[in-house]
Amino acid sequence: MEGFFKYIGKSVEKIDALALATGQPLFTDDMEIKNALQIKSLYSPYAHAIIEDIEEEEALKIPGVKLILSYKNTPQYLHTTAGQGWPEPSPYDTCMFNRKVRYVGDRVLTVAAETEEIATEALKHIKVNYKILPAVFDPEEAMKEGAPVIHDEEGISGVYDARRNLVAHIEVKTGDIEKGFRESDVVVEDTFETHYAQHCPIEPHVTITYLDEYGRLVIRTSTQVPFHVRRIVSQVTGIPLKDIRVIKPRIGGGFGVKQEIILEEICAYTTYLTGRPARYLYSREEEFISSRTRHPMKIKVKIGAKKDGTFNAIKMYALSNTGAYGTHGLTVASNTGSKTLPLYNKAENVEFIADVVYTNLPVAGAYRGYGATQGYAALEQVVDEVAEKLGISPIEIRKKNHIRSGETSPIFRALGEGREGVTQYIQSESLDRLIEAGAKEISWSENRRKKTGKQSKVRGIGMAMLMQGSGIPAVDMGAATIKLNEDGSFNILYGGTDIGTGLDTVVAQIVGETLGTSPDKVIVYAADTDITPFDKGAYASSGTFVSGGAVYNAALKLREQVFEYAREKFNEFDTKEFLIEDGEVISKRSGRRISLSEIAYETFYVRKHQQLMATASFISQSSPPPFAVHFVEIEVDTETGQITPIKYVAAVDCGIPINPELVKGQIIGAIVNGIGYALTEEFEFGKSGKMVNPNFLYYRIPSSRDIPEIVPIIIETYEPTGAYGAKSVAEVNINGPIPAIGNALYNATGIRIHKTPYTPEKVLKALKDNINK
Amino acid sequence: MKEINYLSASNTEDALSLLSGFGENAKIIAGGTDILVRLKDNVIKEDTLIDISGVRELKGIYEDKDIIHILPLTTHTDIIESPVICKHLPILRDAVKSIGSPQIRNRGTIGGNIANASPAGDSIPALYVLSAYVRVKSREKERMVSINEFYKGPGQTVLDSNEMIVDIVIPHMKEQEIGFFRKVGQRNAISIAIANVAVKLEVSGENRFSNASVAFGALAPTVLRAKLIENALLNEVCDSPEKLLYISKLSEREVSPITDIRGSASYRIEMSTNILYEGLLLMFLKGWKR
Ligand SMILES: Cc1cc2nc3c(=O)[nH]c(=O)nc-3n(C[C@H](O)[C@H](O)[C@H](O)COP(=O)(O)OP(=O)(O)OC[C@H]3O[C@@H](n4cnc5c(N)ncnc54)[C@H](O)[C@@H]3O)c2cc1C
Repeated sequence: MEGFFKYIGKSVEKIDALALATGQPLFTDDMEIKNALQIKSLYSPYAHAIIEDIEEEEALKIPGVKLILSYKNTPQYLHTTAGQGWPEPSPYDTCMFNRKVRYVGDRVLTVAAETEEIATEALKHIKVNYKILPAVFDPEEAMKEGAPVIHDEEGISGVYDARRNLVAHIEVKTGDIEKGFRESDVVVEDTFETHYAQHCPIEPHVTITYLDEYGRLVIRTSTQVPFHVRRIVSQVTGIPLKDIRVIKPRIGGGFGVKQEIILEEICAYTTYLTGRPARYLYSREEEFISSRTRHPMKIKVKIGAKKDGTFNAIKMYALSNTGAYGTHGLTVASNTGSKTLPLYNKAENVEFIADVVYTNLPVAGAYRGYGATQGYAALEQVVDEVAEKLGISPIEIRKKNHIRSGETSPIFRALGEGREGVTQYIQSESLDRLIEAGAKEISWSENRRKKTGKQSKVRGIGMAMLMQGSGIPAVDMGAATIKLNEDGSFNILYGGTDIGTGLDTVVAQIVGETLGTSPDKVIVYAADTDITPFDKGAYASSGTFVSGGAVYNAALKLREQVFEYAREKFNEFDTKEFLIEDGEVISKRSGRRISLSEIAYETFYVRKHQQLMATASFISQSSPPPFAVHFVEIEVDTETGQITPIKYVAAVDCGIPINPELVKGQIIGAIVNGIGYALTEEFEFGKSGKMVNPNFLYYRIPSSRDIPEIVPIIIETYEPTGAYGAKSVAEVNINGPIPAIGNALYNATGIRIHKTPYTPEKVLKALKDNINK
Repeated sequence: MKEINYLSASNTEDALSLLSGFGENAKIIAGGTDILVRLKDNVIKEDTLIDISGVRELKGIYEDKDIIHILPLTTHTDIIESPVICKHLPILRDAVKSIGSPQIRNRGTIGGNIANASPAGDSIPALYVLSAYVRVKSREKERMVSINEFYKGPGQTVLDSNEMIVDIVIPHMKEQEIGFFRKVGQRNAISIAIANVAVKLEVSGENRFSNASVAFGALAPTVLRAKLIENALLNEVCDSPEKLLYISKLSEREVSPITDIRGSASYRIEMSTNILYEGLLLMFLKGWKR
């Protein structure tokens, strides 16, 4: 697209880069509010218990302690913390505070005090009496007759079968699966388990609330979903929606965990009851033990294929552990099927079944990849196993079976976000090119054979093919308003939620391109519920596609108004040959021109007397998938079991990359995120169900020395339903590391590990078992 | 974090008299990289900290004939960047290089690493095989303690509450002495050892040694000398990988690790063999040369 666009496809500098780099007070907690009450929480030490009594008198006597909130004095309104659009597909199974605690780390109460020290001290003087109940940690056990029932409260809704701890059950079938296997030449079945992980945004959850001069409640918060925060805080606290304003400042990362409403309602309620500003900040430890995690899953995949490699039947069963509450339980499990199976649409017989189960472990929620990560961990390894059995290369088998432009998959329609999905046809795809470019960069044919490095080190190469979506089709809406100023600059007001991704910059580029203006003349103001139009927020890889789409639509509308004004001025019949560039409208027919600045002056003060402005929304009937093909070369130390990634190549099709540098950031970031998940990050639980490594020393996110050379290769396609041909890129690349490294491990050593992460200890054990076999 | 009394010493005498004044109630803080973590976790019983980080005379590396003195406030970075250490104590250099991250190495001191007495302290096995001595001083007296006799248990040393480390004394490695340090952690940086090992060998002939020191860390309540292995290295002709493997396997009889968050006991035992073997094999392939 070089030369075709002026600002699209250019790595325009992030509009907030300088301010961030110079440490301007942009983040939620950078604002110091005088007189703010500080909130601290007490967590359940038991995995399953009923609170019999809370003795708080001693604590209330401590000078500076203002308010203690618990189930005793807060509205018992069942809701979900999921932070999804309305009506939510997650069960209503929690209150602001619950009388029953369901995992170690479940919040029992909060103290609001004059200082953090006083609040922390007060916690020590509160005695909680629990009636301890038997707990269940294993999802298979949890489904059995006689297992402790975790949600036996009255009035919960949206749970499939609470008595069996079954949050959701999904069943989708096309064709005749058994016939499909019967008619296959080879059938391979394997089971893989994925583990708990946390998002680890560098900025933890934090919320500040205060009453403004008119007594309205302002919530300044580190969130991905400002509009859902407003709706849900109102729902949970009873504060009228009109009295709440949510402001999203700059955000230090979310990855899904800040889609959850877990601080805002309590902070808001504290301010509401006391009239005092309040501040609620999670520590890293709290982030681990009491916020949200990734759903661990056990996934069985069975593939039947013909001799030539064509898939005939694919069956997938996912058992998902949602922990103590069902937030995102149903939809994450749906995505495990819906974001993976359509990739292999040559199989006519497909079955996807999932069970989502409560356990007395930390709560799982939305996490980058959203179930697809778990699905690919299994699917992409079984695809390699089928290839091996047939004696075909992993590349060939994928080329033979992947979905292509113009094609569809019945799964798109059958499996939606907790309801039926929508039929969609792929309009932009270049998987063969992705495979070839990636294979070339990793030197697939030369390096694939086992190459022995030094002494005990062996090397291997593996690959994985992936897709995701762009927003939730027919559900996710975003809106934007744009107006013209006297100097030809534009204000854009939109609900889109830049959480560090660079969305605000992308949006400035879209406006710049559409209205012939340099992006630095686009003033972006975002995500303030009093000022900007609605947007669903930052999730489901929807930023550029949906929020960007809304801005694009608004810019197009405004361009019509600008052209119409120029037409009247130029005295022409139509605007067909009008151009807009470098701040001017030009008629190619007459050669007449007028600058945007002149138009603004004239429409404000001279003629018309009107603000040129436009508001538009965006909703898509499809969710065009971005595609990626990953290759990794690893070195396995057979003495220690350590896996060291040497080189990681990601060939990615995200449509037109509006800002290539930001796209690369998303690719590399997701891969680093995924490598940590594949190799070192892990929740370790004690016998009581307590997470015992809630810190960065023992919960091992990768350090810069753990990261290999990562080569992102962007291959452009044009997605006709996206603004300027763009699709999404945020999530898809986290799906690759587990299967790609798993396949490389097999290539290097002949072992497959069926339970992530691939820690040295597990690798070494598998190597030994393999020798003893 | 509890409230704590903070005092800053300007010289050694000052520090020592503060120490004897406060006795059991005071603790020294040098780089603070261990103390601050423990303070935040509320596991410090003392209520006074005596900061010695400003005591200039306790920082630096100098040579006295073929003895090297490393003063306790010398940071890990100082050690890594010292040409003297590079030349004469490469085993220590490798050990210190594996500690934490650049920030931790800039701040953390060797005195702190020794006194902290973690079984996983990375400099300690190296100091064991290098036959280091620690000079310990109180207001009343001064004594030299061999590092081999410095530890009583995890977190426990022979230091009295009024004593502090004022010098670490290490002889040059001889021309014919070779060695290595190896560590397994859970990632490549900011990672506490699952197991580590330091080895020093004096080569006396073809595949033969006249002196052998082997010390393991994180594999027992304190760093330990592997006597069986040392004997085997002295008595065997180490002329094949098989023999080295055989010797390395003796580690199973020397170490007594625990299962904790970093690794299981059985994995640790295996690691003790493997890191020793890998290191020995590398030296063997290099012809037992530095
Ligand atoms: C993130 C992180 C990573 C780390 N990684 C490693 C690692 O990989 N390997 C490793 O070995 N260590 C590691 N450590 C531990 C620590 O950095 C080292 O042990 C360091 O050398 C301690 O030195 P310090 O000067 O900071 O000690 P301080 O914290 O100041 O003191 C530690 C102890 O030594 C005592 N002390 C200090 N100086 C003297 C003295 N002169 N005389 C008597 N007692 C004294 C103190 O009273 C205290 O008990 C890590 C620490 C952190 C926080």
